[in-house]
Amino acid sequence: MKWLLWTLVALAPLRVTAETSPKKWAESLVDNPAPTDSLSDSATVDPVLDMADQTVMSQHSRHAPVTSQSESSLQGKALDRRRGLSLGDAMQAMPGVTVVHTGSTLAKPAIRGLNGNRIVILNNGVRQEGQQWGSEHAPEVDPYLASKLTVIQGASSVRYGADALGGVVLVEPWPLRTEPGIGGEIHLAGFSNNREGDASATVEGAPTWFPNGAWRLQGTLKKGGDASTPNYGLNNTGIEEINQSAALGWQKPRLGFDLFYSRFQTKLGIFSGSHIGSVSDLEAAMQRGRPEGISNFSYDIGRPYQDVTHQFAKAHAYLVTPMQGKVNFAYALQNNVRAEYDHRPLNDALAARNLPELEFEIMTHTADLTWDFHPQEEYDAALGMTGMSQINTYSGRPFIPNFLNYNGGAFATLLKHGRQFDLEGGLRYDTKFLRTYAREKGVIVTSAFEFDNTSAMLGGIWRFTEGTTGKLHFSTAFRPPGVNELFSAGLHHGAAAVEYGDPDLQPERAYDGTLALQAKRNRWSSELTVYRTYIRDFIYLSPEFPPTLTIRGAFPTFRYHQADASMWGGDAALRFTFLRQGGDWDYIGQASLLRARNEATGGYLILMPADRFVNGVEWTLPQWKGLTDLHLGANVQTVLKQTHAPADSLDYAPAPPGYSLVGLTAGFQWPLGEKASVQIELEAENVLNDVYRDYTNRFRYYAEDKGRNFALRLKIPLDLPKASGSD
Amino acid sequence: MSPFRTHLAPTLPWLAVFCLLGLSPISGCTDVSNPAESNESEVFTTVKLVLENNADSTDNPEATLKFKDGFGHGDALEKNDTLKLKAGASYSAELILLNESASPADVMSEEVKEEGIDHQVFYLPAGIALTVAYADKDATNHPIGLLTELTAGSAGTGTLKVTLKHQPGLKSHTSTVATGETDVEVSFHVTIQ
Repeated sequence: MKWLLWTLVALAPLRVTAETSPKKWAESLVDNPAPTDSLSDSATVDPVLDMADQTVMSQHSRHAPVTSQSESSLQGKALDRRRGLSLGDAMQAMPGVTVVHTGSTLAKPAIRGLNGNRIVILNNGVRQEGQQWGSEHAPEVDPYLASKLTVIQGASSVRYGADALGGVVLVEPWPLRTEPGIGGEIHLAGFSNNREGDASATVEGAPTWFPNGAWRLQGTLKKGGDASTPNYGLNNTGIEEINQSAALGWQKPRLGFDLFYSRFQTKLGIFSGSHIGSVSDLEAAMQRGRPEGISNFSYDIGRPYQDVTHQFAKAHAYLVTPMQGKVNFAYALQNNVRAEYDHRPLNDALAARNLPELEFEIMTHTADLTWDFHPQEEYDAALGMTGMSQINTYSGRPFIPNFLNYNGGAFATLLKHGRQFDLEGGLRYDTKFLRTYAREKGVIVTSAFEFDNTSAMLGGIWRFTEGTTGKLHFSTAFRPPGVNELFSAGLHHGAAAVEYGDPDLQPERAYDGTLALQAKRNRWSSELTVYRTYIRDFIYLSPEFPPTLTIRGAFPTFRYHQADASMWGGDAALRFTFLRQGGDWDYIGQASLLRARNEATGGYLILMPADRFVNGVEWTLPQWKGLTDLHLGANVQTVLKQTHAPADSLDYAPAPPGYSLVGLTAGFQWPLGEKASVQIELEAENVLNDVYRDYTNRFRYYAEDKGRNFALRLKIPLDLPKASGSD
Repeated sequence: MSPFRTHLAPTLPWLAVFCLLGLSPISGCTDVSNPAESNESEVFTTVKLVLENNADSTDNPEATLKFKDGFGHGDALEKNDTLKLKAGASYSAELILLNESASPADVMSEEVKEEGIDHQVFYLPAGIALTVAYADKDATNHPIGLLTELTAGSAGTGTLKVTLKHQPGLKSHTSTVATGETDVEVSFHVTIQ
């Protein structure tokens, strides 16, 4: 088995990779590669719940549920209402999702409180591979490229590979056009707080001279200046982003091939008040309460800043097989270059060269092969193999070593459909080889590791009555220690701490049980998810004494340790139509709780989201004076103080008080001709301009969180009615 | 997890192809097995106080604090001299900052002097009768603190904390040791006899 996997790995770039998105998985059920929704079409997914925060929990309305896992997605108009936000912020308030911020520009999604290396992001069916280990490493994904964002909660390694302890994020673009003609759309968005403007355009076509062929070009421009809190501006928090993508495909019902390329480039200012040279600086910043040197609004991005470029190229093919099956194979190459610039060097000649203090380059080849088929009418089965090779190099200040990383994995899943009850199970085996190269006192030191592990899942889906579903899912998954956890040695600037890895760390293993109940009646719909997760050998940073003495003073010192951790939590959502008069009047409620403990010390885990609630009212009206889809809403988001945080001595400052923020939304469609319409969405965040700090924002030590923000979003179709691709 | 003895990892011939295609735009395709030398663009390794007794030019006490390889590697303190002063004497002092990880060593205090309007050195004696007065000024007439006058009081032992702050756009007549970003923060042992 293992040698089979290594053979796959050794074939490196010649390998193929699987399309692992559930959409494709679902498509194979209907033996027809027709897109589930096209670019120019407003999504027609039947929402179980349409939250005030614009989350749609899709219940696989077009297909029977294909997973016993708890999942939800954001698409169509609900996603359009969050355009212009970073991937993390766009997904925030989906059930089970929170965000770890580093200031106003860097957002990392967290599922069930776990982020970074403990979740997997699948961008266009391929594992996103960049630097993931720091909270200042935001995912390099253009959300304008997505037609659908899906969150799968809980340990999900069987289908998606190692590391997915918290869950998986799927970023799916639109399928290529199938109707002949040319179409497209333009998104425009403006934000008042940081005076940001975004423009994103897509043009696609299916030429008549190229039967079954289709192409697409897409690009996004984003420019924002300094954000501001209710009391002051945040210097050097501008953002610049330029993204492009292109796709070309040839798709017949039984066979198809497509190519995809995307380039994401961002330059992000790091709030100047957060840049500290020593722990005394951090203490002084907290004592001041208000950042020093506040200057006027500017679009300029100076040091410190990050400049990150992520390139992605993919070739994918499918073939319909006997047993109503479909084989998908894909090969993808990713190149991620992350340059981090600290303060300007003293030496003028050096400063003029404008070199980054730290630069990482990671190149990843992935190859996956999957076969989804139906051995018998009531069975869905899948077999798959994946391989990955990766090379990571650094220049500048050493913190983690260079490394080579090879992964191979194989999995099998089986689902049996019953009249009221579906049962599914799956198994996976992974092997990982890691070789690191570090330079210690001028001598190259190399270490090698091998991690072999199995993952498994078992689950059931009950359809109690029409509209009432229950899901129970058990899974186990593992995560090998990351290179930073094994080898980091030195100052982690983003964390103002000296961190040491431990090369003897063992993989983490998670055991996860989730119960999800959904009920839908005429006037209300509700969803409740509860989970319990036990992570054996959870890797965490533990303080060491005495602090490390450096030429910039004493720094707190941490070393990676392992201990068992246990987590439990729940998410609940309710939508209730309390009045049907001049449109629908809905109450929307949402609650999310999480507790995460270190079983060895009895303390709580750090940086876990506090308990939170949303209460809102939304009015919707299908049509009024030629306008369609009118809606108006108000909501209050309440976040409690995180009282389940580690002891104060383990953090620089105690958790900030809780807060409540008021938000407003409004929008409608303005028809242009018969089929097309312009979608106009208005939003106001933190309407009362409340002063607050969030526990999971790493910059809470330095400054308040963002103040009032108005957003205007427009979606303009490029289709002429005649050439419209909408169905 | 078991250490691997054989070099099983296949090489990546395709990597070269992708490098040629320009898919690796900035740093180029560095050799993974040859990690870069620590290439911190600018570090301080050494802080040196050089004194001259104002009443006796043959009395030239000095003290050096040196960290092994600059900042960020759990730097071991390589040299930690005690500054020995005479009770009641006054001294003209110069602070010298070096980057001895470069060869030849960079005199960082020259760079600090050049950008004097954005930098200031602060001196904080503790447990000892010592006063420090600034003896230099930047272009805007604020002290830099590379040149000082030290006056030793009665005999005793204590410490002198020396802090170099980078205060871009922040340095003023009200800025303090809490203003800006710390470039250097060390404590010398001081004995007054």
